[in-house]
Amino acid sequence: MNAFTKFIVGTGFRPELELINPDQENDENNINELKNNQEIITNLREIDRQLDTNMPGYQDVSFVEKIAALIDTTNSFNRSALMFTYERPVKVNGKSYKNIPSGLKFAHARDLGIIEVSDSWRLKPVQWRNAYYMVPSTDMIYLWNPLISAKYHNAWFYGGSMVLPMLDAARVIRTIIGVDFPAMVEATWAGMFILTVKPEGQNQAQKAAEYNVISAGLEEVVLVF
Amino acid sequence: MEDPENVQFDTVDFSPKVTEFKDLTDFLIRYCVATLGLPQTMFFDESASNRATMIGKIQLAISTVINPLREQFGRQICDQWYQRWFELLYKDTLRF
Repeated sequence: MNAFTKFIVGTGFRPELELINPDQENDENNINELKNNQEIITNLREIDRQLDTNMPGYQDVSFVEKIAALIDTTNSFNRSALMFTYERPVKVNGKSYKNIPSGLKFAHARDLGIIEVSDSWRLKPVQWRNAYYMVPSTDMIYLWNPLISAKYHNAWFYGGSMVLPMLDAARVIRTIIGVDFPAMVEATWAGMFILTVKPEGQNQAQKAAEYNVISAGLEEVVLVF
Repeated sequence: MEDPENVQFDTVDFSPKVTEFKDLTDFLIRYCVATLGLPQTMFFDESASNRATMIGKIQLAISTVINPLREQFGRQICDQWYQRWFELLYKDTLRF
């Protein structure tokens, strides 16, 4: 039996169970097997619930909100992580588990550094805030976007952003709307004009005379709108 | 005054390229939307599409972009959270 996360539109996500080797002949057995083990889901959600509970003196953020922030940041900045903290024991069915974290510290992509990947493409430690010692990947939820990242060895684990490719386009749009369009509006509204004269005189003296006549006829006016 | 013999007359287009800039902006916004993999029908051609084609486009975006992302993130979160504690809590009772 395995656990997997199922996203439900509108309500977030919840753990579900799936059978590793389901009965191919009798689906009834599979349904019963899953039904009889729903206690596992209850216990897993109990861990989430204890993470939602406020510590004395702190106002905590819910587990679902932290996961949502994790996904948002990953989509925007390639990757992010929730690092485990162990301030108090987590209890399930009256038994304490010291290996289960009681808190999750959010690690933004800007604070994550180099990573170490084994030859078999397994993520090992992750550098955090330029620290010399790296945090083992077993002590965090490390999220990256593998669907749009380079598919070679460790580059894969750095993920890919869904927003950064549009950054240049967004800048151009901002310039068009913020600079070019206002300039067009001003020029069009103010009635910018250029007076050009093509002289018809045969020689330089006649052409100069035409210019003199025209320039003498121009008056300085003030437009009032 | 400028010597009329030295004056050259050129046609200069001072009319602002409103249409071109509008088309460019339109293209760039489409590019941004396409980068996210969202259905453009939600942003541009509501009037051109009928209900059936719009629903089809939204369903296509959900099945080709949103669901793979959901499955991928779901698997990552589960492998690093629920599956870990599942194996820890039931290491003595369940076979994996």
